[in-house]
Amino acid sequence: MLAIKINNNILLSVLILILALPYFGPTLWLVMASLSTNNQIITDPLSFPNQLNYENYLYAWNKANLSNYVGNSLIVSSFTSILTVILATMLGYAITKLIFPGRRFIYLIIITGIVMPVFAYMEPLIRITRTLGIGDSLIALILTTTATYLPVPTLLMSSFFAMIPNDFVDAGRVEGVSELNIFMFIMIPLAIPGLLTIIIFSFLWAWNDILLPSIFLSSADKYTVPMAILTLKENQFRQDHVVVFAAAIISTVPMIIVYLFFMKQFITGLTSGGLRG
Amino acid sequence: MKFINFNINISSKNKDTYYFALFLIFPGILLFSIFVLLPVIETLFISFTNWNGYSKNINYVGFDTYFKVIDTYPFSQALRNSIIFGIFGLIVPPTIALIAAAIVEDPNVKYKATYRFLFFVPYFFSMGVAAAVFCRAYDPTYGVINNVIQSLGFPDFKPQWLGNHILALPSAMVVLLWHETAICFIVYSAAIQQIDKEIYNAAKVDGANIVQLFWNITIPSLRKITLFIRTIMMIVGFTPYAVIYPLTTPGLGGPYYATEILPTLIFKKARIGSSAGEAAVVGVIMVLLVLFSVYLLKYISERFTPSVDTN
Repeated sequence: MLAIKINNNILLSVLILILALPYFGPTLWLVMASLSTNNQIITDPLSFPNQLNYENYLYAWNKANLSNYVGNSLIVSSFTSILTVILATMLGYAITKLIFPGRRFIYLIIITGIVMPVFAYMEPLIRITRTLGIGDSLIALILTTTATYLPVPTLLMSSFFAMIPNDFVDAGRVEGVSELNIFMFIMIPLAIPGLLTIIIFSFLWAWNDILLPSIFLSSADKYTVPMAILTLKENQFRQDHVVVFAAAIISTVPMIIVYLFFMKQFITGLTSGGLRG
Repeated sequence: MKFINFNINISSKNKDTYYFALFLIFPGILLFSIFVLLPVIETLFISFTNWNGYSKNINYVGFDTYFKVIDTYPFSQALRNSIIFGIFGLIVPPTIALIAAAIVEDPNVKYKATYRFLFFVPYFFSMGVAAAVFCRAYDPTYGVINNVIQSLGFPDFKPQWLGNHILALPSAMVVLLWHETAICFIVYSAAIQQIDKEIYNAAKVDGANIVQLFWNITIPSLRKITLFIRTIMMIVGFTPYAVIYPLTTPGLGGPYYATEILPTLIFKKARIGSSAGEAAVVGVIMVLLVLFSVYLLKYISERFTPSVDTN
């Protein structure tokens, strides 16, 4: 929107590409390196690989056990996003469209939750999961990820519901529809774009997080993908750069899918949900 | 704290809705209470004790643990690094992203979708994975960065990026910058698309140049979203555990505490140093730092922007 009066479009494109180079450049190199050999990226890192070594990917997937970790990540991310969308929708609807005692207080608690870094209360949190008998488990990871992340989607849902006119609710009440049915069959269908945004959002959040997995998971077979890549980096693949790089590329697949198919949805959800202006 | 509008838009004051509302909030609040509120309160409580984390006796010692922690070098270093990181996150990624987004969203630019993709690429990686890859690139002997420097004709210039106590922190900041600019860019780019183009056309008729359009229309129109982005980036900057942990494990904190930040300090005190009291103190101070900075940022943003709402 900077209304640059450069008629020369090529000049503008070159300017943008130079600006963007630090951002896409390293990734381009990473893709190239992940198809290369260890020898080559040490001796001649900037040249194109002599032959494309797809084996790096197979090696990462099979030998480095990435298939197992992708399974863990899928479980954690799916359950987190389902749980988050259910709870956030219920909370968001209640604090926006219904009056009940302590509504302001609940709102205040949720707001405070946004600025509360997990690390501040890490140690008591671990103790609580141990007390509940779910220490070092994917269930602990799912529940804590949902709980700590919940304030953001709740506020997003709240602003989504706020945009839906009350006439829908009132019409339902006049017709004698129960509160539950108004919520389930009138309001939720109207808030589908918001629900989708939150499902995508929280799935990626859980997929990419290393904070909570590094706190909660101590046995290696339960690691999520980013955690597994960090251990690859540390342990047996000390000199095996290309496998780490291939694993890193594999870990981006869900994000790329979301970008290609849902990004518009994602951004519209974010900006129309009250962040406008 | 109104980054997201909380529109109270209540339709009925019917008492029947009470029970339904309670039914709706119960599961979410229960989960939130167990895994957030309870540990937060416990942290506050433990911070006033000298508990080691496992023994049965817990002594109330008032603010003693606070004084004990604040006096130590790792703490002052961690606080300093967290604040440097926070200020960096608050200023650099959003500013670069804003300028880049303003250029890409210019009406004269073609292939916008391609450019948006190119700027967004870093965000495909989790911050931890990005840091793991950068860690490999920073390696003094095998890393690509030093290799490129050598092939450019400086064979003796082999800095230990992460092993040098001066270079370690900026090296970590580069990872944060690389990763977070992408999300700032994509949010700004969406926000700029929503600005009414008539405002620009009217200003152009009045003879405004590019810089004036950017300064007087684009920036004021994005005021709210800028506050939101800067606040989030500042919080990310205060607690960049996802960057520091992959870059500096197993050292966790780098040479001479060069990359020690508040979260790594908590991690060490709680898990390795077996001092739950001290970990809790650092946690409480971290929360206070975040809360104070968020309100300060909001205050500054309101104080120094003109009251005329251009939107």
